Amino acid sequence: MNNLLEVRNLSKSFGGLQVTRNVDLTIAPGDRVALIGPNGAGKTTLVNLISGVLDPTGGEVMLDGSKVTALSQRQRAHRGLIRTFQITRLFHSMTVADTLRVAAIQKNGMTYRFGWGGRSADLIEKSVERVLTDLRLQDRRDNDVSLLAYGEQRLVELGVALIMEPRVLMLDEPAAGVPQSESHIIMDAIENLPAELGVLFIEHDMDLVFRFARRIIVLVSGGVFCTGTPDEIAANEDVRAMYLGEAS
Amino acid sequence: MTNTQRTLGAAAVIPIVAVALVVIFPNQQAFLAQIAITALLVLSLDLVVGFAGLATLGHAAMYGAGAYAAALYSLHVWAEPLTGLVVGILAGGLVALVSALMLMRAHGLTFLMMTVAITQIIYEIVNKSRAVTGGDDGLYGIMMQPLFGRFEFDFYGRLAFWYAAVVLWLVFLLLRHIAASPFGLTARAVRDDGGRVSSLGGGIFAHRVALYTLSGGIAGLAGALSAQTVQVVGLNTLSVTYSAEILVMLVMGGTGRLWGALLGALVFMMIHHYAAEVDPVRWMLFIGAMLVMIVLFLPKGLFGGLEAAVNRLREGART
Ligand SMILES: Nc1ncnc2c1ncn2[C@@H]1O[C@H](COP(=O)(O)OP(=O)(O)OP(=O)(O)O)[C@@H](O)[C@H]1O
Ligand SMILES: [Mg+2]
Repeated sequence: MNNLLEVRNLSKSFGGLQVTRNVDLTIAPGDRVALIGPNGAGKTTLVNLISGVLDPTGGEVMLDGSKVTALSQRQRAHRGLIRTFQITRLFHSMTVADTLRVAAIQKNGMTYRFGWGGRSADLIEKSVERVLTDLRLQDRRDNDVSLLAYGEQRLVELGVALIMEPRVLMLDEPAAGVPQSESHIIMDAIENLPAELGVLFIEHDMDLVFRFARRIIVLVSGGVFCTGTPDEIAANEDVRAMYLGEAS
Repeated sequence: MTNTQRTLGAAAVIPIVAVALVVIFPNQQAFLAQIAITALLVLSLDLVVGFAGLATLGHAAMYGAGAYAAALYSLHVWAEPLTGLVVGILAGGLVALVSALMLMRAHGLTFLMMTVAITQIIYEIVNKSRAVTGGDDGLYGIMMQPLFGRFEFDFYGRLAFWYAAVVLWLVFLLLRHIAASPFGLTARAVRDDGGRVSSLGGGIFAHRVALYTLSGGIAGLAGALSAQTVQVVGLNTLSVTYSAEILVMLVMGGTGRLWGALLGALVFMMIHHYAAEVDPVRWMLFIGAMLVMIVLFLPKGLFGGLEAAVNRLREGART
């Protein structure tokens, strides 16, 4: 199958500090790739580079076989490359439903509409309802996002990404900060993601990683330390010593 | 309350207040017209400050542009009022559009300083273009034709008041509609976290420019109304000082809610009028003290305070 996303020899330095070192990776439709590594390994930076928040100092990002390295975050989002943030970024003055609507408005190019009439407005309401139902947030529809429990805010953060109907989805620690009692909702949501979607997710929780990932990339000091199937990674002595050992 | 009831209720407020003001202040209609025009200007400022979250000291630039354009139009082209309003909208919108292209990538203090700089530049250009603008004498002798070809502008400002009040009312309804629209929702999202909107594929620069231009058009409309009803346009309409004054009105009333703009303008203008009569020198002291109290004790302004008080009374009535 053709690759949706391909990263070639990507590097990034902040001043003298190199935080991304010659990273190669590919995501095909249906992929579930986990990106793991110790704190400060450069996982979030890599997502920032791929999504266009940061400009790389070297290398290329390709989407559907064409270079997007020079494109803005916004243009990449239009091509279906969507990410969530490690620390929830929601619109703090809004309700849950309005937050999701904002995403749907951008998705459907309705930013300059001065009213809610028409078919596309119906589509927006439908997609908002669907995501609210999928994430079991119906009761929270009219609550201010800033007043939700953090776990619920994480759900909304995921909902915002889902409403964009991405082709490649990058999740930066989707379950971080979510209490155990609610994390199954996040897991269900990830489990039920559209099959053809390519997913790259950063996660520290190894249960989650081994439950969802079909491929794991271990990032250390900004470079790919090794990659493999969950079984291979679990059996890798170096990884165990360096990372899994530390985490458990 | 259903949404329809709420919309109708909101739509009734300005007409009711307008009638009440005329009944209470029967001989002050020229002054009441000033209040309506100022409220319109502060309403447009709320789009920038409340909806876009940008503090500006340059809003009078668009107001003055509308005032001068409408004055020149009536003096040299046609003294018909409604087309004059359109000229005001275009002038204010154009000044806003051009300055927005420079302003809307800036943030915080840089943005604030640039609004001051742009306003100063426009002020000086108008000041130096004496042949066209009258320099520091301003433009006077503006005589408008009857409204709709029928209603004469009277010396007491009766028509002026209703004319301004109806325009204010229509713009208020329009802005309430826009605030709830996809465009308005996106504006709030850009204010809350512009980077997040980019990550969803939204273009925040273009959106900010559009919002600023809309706001400038309405400020220009207010300027045109002022030129037509006061029949004089001076440099003060373009000043940073006046920009600061309307910002004070907005903050007093409360930002981001449209109602606050109306309330702030009304209260400020009333205090100005009556306190200045009592003590023409120290009335600003009173306004200053009041502003300090509001900022300290009513962070959401007079309207926010009023709303909280009403809610508390309702809660009380229920229990
Ligand atoms: N804007 C920046 N300027 C300078 N250094 C940065 C910047 N952003 C990240 N870094 C550094 O880059 C390194 C990698 O950070 P990054 O956030 O990508 O790590 P991470 O793998 O996501 O860690 P965590 O698991 O804690 O989220 C860190 O040393 C960090 O301090
Ligand atoms: Mg991180």
